Amino acid sequence: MKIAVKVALLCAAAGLLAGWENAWALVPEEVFSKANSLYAQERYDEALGLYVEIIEAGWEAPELFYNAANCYLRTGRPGYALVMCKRAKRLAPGDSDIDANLEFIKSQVQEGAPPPESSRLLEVLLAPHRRLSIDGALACASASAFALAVLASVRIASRRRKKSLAYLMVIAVFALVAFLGGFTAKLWEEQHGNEAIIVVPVAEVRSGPGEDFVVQTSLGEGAEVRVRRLGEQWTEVSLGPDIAGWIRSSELEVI
Amino acid sequence: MVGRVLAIAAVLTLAAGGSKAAEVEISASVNRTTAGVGEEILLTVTISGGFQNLPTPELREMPDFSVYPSGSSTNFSLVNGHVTSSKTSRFVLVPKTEGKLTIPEIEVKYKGDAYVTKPIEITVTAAASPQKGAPQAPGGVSGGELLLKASVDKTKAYVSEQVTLTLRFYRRVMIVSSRLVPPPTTGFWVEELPGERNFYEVVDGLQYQVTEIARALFPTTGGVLEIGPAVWECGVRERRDPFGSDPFDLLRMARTRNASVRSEKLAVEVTPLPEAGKPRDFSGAVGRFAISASADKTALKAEEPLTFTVKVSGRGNIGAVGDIDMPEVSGFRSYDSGGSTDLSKDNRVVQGSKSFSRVYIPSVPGDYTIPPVKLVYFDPSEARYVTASSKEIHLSVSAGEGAAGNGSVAAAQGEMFAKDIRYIKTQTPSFTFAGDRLYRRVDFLMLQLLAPALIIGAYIFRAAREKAAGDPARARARAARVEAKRKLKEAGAMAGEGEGENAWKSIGAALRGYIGDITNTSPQGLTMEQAASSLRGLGVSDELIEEALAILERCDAAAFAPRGAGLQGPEEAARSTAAALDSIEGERANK
Repeated sequence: MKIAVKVALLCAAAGLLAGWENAWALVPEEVFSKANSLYAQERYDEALGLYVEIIEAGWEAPELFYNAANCYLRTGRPGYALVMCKRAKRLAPGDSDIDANLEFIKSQVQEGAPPPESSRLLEVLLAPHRRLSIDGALACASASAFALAVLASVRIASRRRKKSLAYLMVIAVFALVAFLGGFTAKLWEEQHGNEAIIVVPVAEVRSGPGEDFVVQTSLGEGAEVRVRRLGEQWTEVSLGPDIAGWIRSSELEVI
Repeated sequence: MVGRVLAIAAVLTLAAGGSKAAEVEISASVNRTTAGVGEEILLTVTISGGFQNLPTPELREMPDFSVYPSGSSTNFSLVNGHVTSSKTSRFVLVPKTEGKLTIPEIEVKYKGDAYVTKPIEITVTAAASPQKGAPQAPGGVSGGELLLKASVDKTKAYVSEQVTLTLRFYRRVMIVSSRLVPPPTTGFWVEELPGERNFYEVVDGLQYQVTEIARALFPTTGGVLEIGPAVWECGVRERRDPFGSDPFDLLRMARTRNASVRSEKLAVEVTPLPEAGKPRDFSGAVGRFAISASADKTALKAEEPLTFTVKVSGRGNIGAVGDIDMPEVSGFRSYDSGGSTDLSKDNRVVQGSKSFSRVYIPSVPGDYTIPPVKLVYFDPSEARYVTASSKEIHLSVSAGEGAAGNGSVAAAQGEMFAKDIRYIKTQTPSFTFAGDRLYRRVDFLMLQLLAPALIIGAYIFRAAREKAAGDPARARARAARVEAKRKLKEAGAMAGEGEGENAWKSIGAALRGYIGDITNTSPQGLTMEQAASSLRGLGVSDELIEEALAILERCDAAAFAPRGAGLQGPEEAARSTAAALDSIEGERANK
């Protein structure tokens, strides 16, 4: 029995190592530097290949997505550029370079397009956290919780009940709730938001998952949609409140 | 839920059934088909379809017209699941010759197919012609009841200088409808001015209600330019005479009849801009302008981008300001990053600002200067060309982080950078594995236990304190060693200061106090026998009891002996007493 357990553990470890083989085999810093040099030499396709190699190996960094977005834009693929820029912004929401390029790409591809469907409650929750990443929001929530614990401990341990301590605790509670709310919203957005971008020049939106269904409309490259159901061949997307259609899965990229 | 999806699908299907998907529709219209030479015709081209990114119409060459783009708008809507999108482009056409002229077909291409409009025939007369149906003369209204006055703020102007045309419509009768036929303004570029004014004015002893509107006219050519008559058509409610011959007149519905008034012609003498002394870099702007420059930062690191913005603002035809020559700075890469125009017509003066932005990226540390930027414009009030310039901006560039790694980038001076997008980030980032979020990290989660641990600790502390408060003997025993050691420390300090007698007394008090505390008895008057008995009762070994008694005897002897006898070594005694206390505590703990 013990031998069987050991064998199983070894197999699991081997599986994990095999899965991470690419990640360990590649030194992202070196490849990133090489890609930057290629970009500087205007060899955008080659630079993009290296950036994508790092991404496919499982690594991520806002700078990586940002540079990849530049390459995609330079090679005439604004849809993918928008995807990468949005991924960069998710990791570094306060980066002004990312904001500037995101605006630029949007201005290139989304003339007259409606904003994607988004929950109002989500927007309200996210408003003060626009400049915080998901990790940043959690770190702030954690710091607030620790401050609250310190204050509570002092209050529990001390013989006197000071009012100032109570006020500070109220502030800490508000901060904790706000940051925790922001973190929860960002987590939900990351796991269930399903924002997607059209990555082909024209994507036809059909009334059902197949070529036999009629074309409702078409969306240009860079248009933002919400994924309702992601399938291998066809994906159901939301174009607005209670309005849905189907697009080929290969014609969009989930952020 | 299934029903809802089916309903949506049905709606989508129905919406799509009526029209071919991705079909483009194009139409063109003009606001008038008859015009005089030099008069404006507004051509509107509308493209619509069920998709985004509609193509832009291409106008063919029209040698008989001067063509000016006049803006565009885009509309995108989702109604009942059907996406509709339309783009409207407007052009102002000014006929150059008279006769039957044709606006040719206008074409757009989509997915390889061409979509065209029908040609539009325009009849152009030699001079400004009144529109069909325009009133010829006032009818049925006495001359003093309706008046239309036109005036200009100046009768002499330079080309491109604003001339404000004001039209005032005076009336002393009730008006139920009105329409203005604008005056022909051949040779002027016209900008509508907002703000209709209504007021009362007395003319020749009669009070009139007045409506005033204005337009900004910009002469496009020199010479004496005529502003034709404007016509105001209106419906006038007739007055009824209550003392008239017809007694049923009062019972009838109020009667309305059409009337119109016409303004006088005006003339403006337009002087061309002087050729003498015209600078080669004249921007085309006429008015009074200022230029300023700013940078979003003046201290930066190598490879860090800065945005340099030049802003031209002032009164005049700001739209005529062409592209500004942005300066090049040695050692910097740069690229345009867009611009914007902000036009306002406050106080009936066309004014505004135009901004130009450029991003600069330094490659090498050092001190640099962005030179001034110049704008040459014509100031009609001073009748001369004026050169305005911005201030120079000094920059301090320090070595960037990871500059060594960016060597190849910095060396590539001739490289081409993305137009309008910011340059890539060259600093090596801190890579993480995809999805490696803080909330998934064990060390972070473990750290979160600190907060509840703190609170639990506080509760334990409080419980212990409360328990101690309920059992004074136990509390006294727990604090005994600490208290004794504090006294022993004081004794050591006294010995160091030469107060040997006091030091011995303090050592004795510390030891007696300790025994009193742990046995919950009074240390005052504690005899050797009582001390030995108490300690024995706590299970302290005989050896330690003897050691403690020896210390007490020594203290008593030193404290009460004649001066000079037995006063040697209180520091050593304090140390050995402390060690004895530790040993007693150890034995008590083991029990």
